[in-house]
Amino acid sequence: MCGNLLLGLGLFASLSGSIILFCGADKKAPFDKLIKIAVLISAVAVSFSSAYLMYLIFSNNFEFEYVASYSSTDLPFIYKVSAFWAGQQGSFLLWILIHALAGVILYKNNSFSGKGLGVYLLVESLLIIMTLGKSPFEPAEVVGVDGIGLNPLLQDPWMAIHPPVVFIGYALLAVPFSLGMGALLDDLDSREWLETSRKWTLMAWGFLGAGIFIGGYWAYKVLGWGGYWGWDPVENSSLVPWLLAGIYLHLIKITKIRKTAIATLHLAGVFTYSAVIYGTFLTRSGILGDFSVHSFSGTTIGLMLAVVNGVLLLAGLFLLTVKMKKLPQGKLYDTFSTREFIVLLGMLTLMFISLVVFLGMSMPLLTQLAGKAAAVDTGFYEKLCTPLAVMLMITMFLASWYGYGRENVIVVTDGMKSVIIAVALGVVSTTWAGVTSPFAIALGAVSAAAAMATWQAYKKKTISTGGMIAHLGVSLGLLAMVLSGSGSKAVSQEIAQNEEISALGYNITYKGQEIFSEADYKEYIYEVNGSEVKALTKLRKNGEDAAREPAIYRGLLGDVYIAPSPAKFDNIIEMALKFGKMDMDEQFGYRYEGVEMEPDSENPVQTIITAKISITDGTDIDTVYPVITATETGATSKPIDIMQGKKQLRLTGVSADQKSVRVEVLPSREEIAAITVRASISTKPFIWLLWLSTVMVTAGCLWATKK
Amino acid sequence: MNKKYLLIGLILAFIAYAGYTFSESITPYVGIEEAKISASNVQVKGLLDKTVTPHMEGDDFVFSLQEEENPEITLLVKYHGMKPDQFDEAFHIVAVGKFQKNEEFFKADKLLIKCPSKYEGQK
Repeated sequence: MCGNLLLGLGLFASLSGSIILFCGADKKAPFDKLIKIAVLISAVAVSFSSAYLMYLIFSNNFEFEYVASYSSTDLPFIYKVSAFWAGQQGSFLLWILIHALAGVILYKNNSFSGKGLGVYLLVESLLIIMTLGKSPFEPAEVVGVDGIGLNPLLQDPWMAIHPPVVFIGYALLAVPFSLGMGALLDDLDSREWLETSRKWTLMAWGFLGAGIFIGGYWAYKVLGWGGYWGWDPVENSSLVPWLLAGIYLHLIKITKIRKTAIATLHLAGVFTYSAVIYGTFLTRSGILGDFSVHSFSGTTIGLMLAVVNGVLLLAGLFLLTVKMKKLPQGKLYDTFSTREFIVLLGMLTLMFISLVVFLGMSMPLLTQLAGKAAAVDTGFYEKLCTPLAVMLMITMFLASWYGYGRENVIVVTDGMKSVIIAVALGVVSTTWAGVTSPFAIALGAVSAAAAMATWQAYKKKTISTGGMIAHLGVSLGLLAMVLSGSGSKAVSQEIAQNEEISALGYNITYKGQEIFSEADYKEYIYEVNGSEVKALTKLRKNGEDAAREPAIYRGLLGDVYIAPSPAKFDNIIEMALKFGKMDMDEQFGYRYEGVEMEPDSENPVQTIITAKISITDGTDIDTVYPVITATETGATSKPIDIMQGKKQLRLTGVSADQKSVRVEVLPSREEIAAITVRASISTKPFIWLLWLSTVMVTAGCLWATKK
Repeated sequence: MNKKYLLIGLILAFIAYAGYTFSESITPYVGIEEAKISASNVQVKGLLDKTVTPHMEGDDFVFSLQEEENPEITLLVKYHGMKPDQFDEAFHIVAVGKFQKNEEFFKADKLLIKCPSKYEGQK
């Protein structure tokens, strides 16, 4: 209640602020003061509401549905923090928190014209309405003493920081949108707001990019996501705004040179922010439920998002049409041999890439509307994006050659020589990596050439340091994608314990499994060319696999990626033991001698059921006490060693009259560790170059904000 | 002027190529019975058919899908790859691929596992 009230206050403040601003009353007393109060109150209210949610999570208040669904008492500190944004409701709250806080900074710096701030506060109100529509402060239907906890798959440091970084990007993209709309409403000259927009867009772009990269890196090092990029709707929905914001950034630069580009810039601004909301709509509304590996299930929030999206897009386009005549008109370039033309051509290419991704991810929705649902396979993206990426790299290469405004070839013969070397390097390295597709080799070659041309342009001082680093990152990144993706080779092989095999040019030995029952994980240990690498499997409380990570051997020429298949042993024996009677398997005799049930002293909803079972091999007798922890909804139990570790036993059930128990007899840990395991082994040539390039893109982008 | 036409030609050629690629890669969402008669790539959603134990056959992972509304209708699926994560907890499995009429099985290129866990939605 308290959290929602605070959000309501934030809504009231931001909405009234935006109304005052739209009426144009902000210059007159007392309204100028009121604006300041509105901006501050909305930020403070949202901050307190967020702090309250954090407090609820840390105080294990499972009376709240959100806390019960995403947190639990035993969750480590860092994942309790990340439980804040583990679900849709919390991540929206985080989004408005960043939006509201950025609003205070923007207000203090006097970055907005009156109506620009109005638009920003209006967007804030819409975001708060959506959060209230599906609030993290809903009471739980059934109150438990412990929560469900965070999905073990998401209990990873990279996954803890991925959502907030993406949301910083999303939230900050509202700044260029509001600045642009404000400029149109207040008829501002581009000089008055372009520099502010450039800085904030760079920041948003840097963060959104970093968020996408972190998500990709995480997807690479866990199994089940199909590598760092799978063209999943959730991934695509963050890629489209990132690509569009990239176009917007380049158009800012062009507009600074030629004011006539301003209308195109506004268009890009409207579409960029619409793409943010649209992507959220597509992935959060649940309409893609059957098409995505990880979309959230459907709620009424989908309709709200669709409405907000439509309103922002239509209002933006309408405003642009109305104000069109007041904007500077004229040609965007003089001749083809100017940098502005080539950059525009590059942006056209980037727009086509965005369009391909947009259409691909929207296809289930569009076809559903047309009657019969269908999706495109990943080949659609790859086949279309590869030639477009080649075109993009050609424009990046040519743009480095020319200067703005005049025909001016800047690179002299020594530059030409280095470019030829770069192309050769691109062709040789891709062919060496095993790439055969001519499109992919061409992409590798032009990416290398674009990287070299960028460096030459930097030496001639026609590109800034930040720009150079980011452009090098993009071109080397595409080269690395060709090398590590198209150059990847894979085999699937069964390997017995301590057997050495030779696969894909590497010597691989499987050393067996190690099970850490106390720490709830197990490892498959491999040796690649003499170095030990481990594939990790996190276990559920009942010992089943919860999340798997491959063993990755990192080398200068690339990674070896080993994904063991979960070994299911077929020699589990299930038995029902009657009280006082002896039951036999082929090795031991088992007798059930009694059971005790008592409430858990630490957690009263749980009942601890302890059975007493004696096991004998004819000479020795081992009496063990297997345990089930039962709650209203289910029970968990762990296998325990019996007969000095010769086998393991797990209690799986007790009859209502306590006359019999069910148990599972499992092989010993050593036997399980020695099982032959099938593994898929693949190479990822020069994948480190991809990680390096993502760091360069982010660093270059943030560097450029300094100017 | 020539360069302008070259550019427009390039864009038109790309659009034609895109249209062709699109028609190649579109995979409609169908039920099991329709999947069995479809000549192109499709997506089939179903539940795991418990009467067939999922297992490996060489490099293929083999299991059986069951129509949600009518458990009688089943489809044998062979997926070139290993058993996906969280397969055992899946309540829905979507197989993307093509039915092989001569061999009476569905050859899947991709499996989507819908889990009742956190990130994939509640309940």
